[in-house]
Amino acid sequence: MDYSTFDDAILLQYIARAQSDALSVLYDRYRHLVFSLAYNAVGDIATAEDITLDVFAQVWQKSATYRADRAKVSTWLTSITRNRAIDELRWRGSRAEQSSVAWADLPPSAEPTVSGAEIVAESLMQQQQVREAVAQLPDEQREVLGLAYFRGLSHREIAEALDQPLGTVKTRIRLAMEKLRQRLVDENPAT
Amino acid sequence: MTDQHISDLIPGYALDCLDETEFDQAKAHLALCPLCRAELASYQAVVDRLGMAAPDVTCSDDLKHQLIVRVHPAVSAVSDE
Repeated sequence: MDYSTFDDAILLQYIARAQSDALSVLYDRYRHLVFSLAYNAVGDIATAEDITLDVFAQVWQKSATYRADRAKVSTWLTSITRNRAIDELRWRGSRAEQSSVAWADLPPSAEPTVSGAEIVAESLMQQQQVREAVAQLPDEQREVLGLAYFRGLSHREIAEALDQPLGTVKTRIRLAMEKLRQRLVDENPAT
Repeated sequence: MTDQHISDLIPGYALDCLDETEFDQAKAHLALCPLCRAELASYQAVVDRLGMAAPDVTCSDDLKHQLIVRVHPAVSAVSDE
């Protein structure tokens, strides 16, 4: 069976029936997204690979619990990845040691972080929208947003890491999120 | 519904970066306020997409084999023969 023609939700159904070839196709589609997110959070290749393995192993074990009406597969995967990476950083107790984080340069690389014949175009478009929206934020807003998203730092922890007033950090995060919501959700409700 | 709306807290709640007191306040309000829950959903949609803005990094080609071995060792053993 050629699983590469199936959409993500159908793949999850086959994975729930222990079809490892379906997992292989899902892995090929999302390995870049999962690994890139994990690496940017934890900062080293070996741990990011461990996290990537854990994420897809969790998909294998819990695919039957996936609810397509609640979240896209890509959303489910990024949520698992981010939580797993932040857990790792909390376990290390090193989240604030590196007080800078990177966001992707523009334009997106030729190889999208999501791969798969039918979803490449949609993925590239959405990826470009997200990266452009983040790139348009002022540097100080991108900085605090990155520490919250990738490192899992709280407002207070960010304020301490950057030696900035707590109120300033809260305002920057709120303004960043408001702008991203406007650009990614209000102006692009279908994506 | 508890007190007034919590628009200032919702972006931080979606990002999970509130401090404990603010988180508890937001959670209590969200349980009772459909307007704020709808606003939270719109911010959650932002958080859901932020992973796409992580810089691209390529993982080892061997990782897929490790995954298959881990989740399905019997299949892996057959494919290695």
